[in-house]
Amino acid sequence: MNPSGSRSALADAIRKRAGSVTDAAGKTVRTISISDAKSAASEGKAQDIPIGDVYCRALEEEIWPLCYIRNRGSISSQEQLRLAQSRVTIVGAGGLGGYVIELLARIGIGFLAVIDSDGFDESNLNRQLLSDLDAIGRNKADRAKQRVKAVNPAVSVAAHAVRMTEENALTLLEGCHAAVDGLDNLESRRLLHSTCRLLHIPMIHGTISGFEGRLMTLFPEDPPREDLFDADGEATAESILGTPPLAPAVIGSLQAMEVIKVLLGRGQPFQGKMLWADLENGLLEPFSFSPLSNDS
Amino acid sequence: MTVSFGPMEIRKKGSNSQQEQAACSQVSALKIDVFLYATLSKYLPEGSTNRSTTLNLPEGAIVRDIIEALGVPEMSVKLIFINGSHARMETPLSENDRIGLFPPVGGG
Repeated sequence: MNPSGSRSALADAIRKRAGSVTDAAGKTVRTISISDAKSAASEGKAQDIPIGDVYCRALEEEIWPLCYIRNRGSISSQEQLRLAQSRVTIVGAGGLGGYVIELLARIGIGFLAVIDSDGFDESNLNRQLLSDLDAIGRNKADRAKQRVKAVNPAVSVAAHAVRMTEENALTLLEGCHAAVDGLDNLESRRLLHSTCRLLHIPMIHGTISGFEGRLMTLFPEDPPREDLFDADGEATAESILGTPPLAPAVIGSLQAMEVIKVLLGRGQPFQGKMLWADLENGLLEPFSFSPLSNDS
Repeated sequence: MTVSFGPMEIRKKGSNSQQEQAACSQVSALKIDVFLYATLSKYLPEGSTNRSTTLNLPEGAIVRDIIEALGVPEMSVKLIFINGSHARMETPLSENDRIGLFPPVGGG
């Protein structure tokens, strides 16, 4: 069958199985459940179509996958489709990265690449969402892949159980629409920053210490911001204040929101300004950098 | 809480003579609100709340005078903001400025 015939056959298979719900405004919305999507994927095929492709085809027909129906109202079907066609790389699947991966999988990003060479240990249990007793000793990227598959099989995950280095950074990040900083040190962040600039990819920076954390989206057209990642031999704050679980959840959520803003071109990303969150004192404050140059 | 650091506390190059010190003490003071984040908050005077303190500094004072007054090592300050905008150690201060100082942060 030619590709357009195949597309049309898939659309027919989806339409045939679509159900409907009535929204609060009394409007009927067509939906498809995951079991019906799987059935549509295998209809008349020697090999199943990936579930993510079925969801994309359904959204083109304005048929909502049921798992995304509660995104509706804040996200249009065209935007949901765009998320499903997006590729995001998360570097580090620990405290911040774990929350970001969970949220991006649930909202329906089509492809996630997860980079982390570490395995979970007991000291991660206080804050790292992807860790549990069964995961101790297991690689974090592999665990992320398993978790996402269990939550939303429409999301493809490439798990890279490697450390990002100068040698592999370009290859690992090439082709993604946004890169999320889930790292735990400033040296790796400098490498991520420079690599994202080379590849013209927005970098969603986040970091935490104690009950505080910060967020900033670094666009490739902005002046470089190496001063965010300069420690100059000084101990970084989290080595003294520790990393309790609250700030990773808050900053991770804000990072996921930045990804959505970047991918959909909506809202006001934290571009040229750093958000500082002090959870203990209830402060959320933006701090601005000059848009014209690296003013450090 | 307000802590006053009179002009005498601010080191001025070449202001060692009594005459110069007298001149220095006559300059008007700037009231500056200083906010210290993360590990820097340990340098706040005892009794400070909301991670801030108020300093009185002489006219012409710069950001570096703040960290010297509070005893913060310069190496520990990685980001400086005045009234929410990025600044430097040499940036001059104005009356009622709000200064935010940040250490290096790298947790994830």
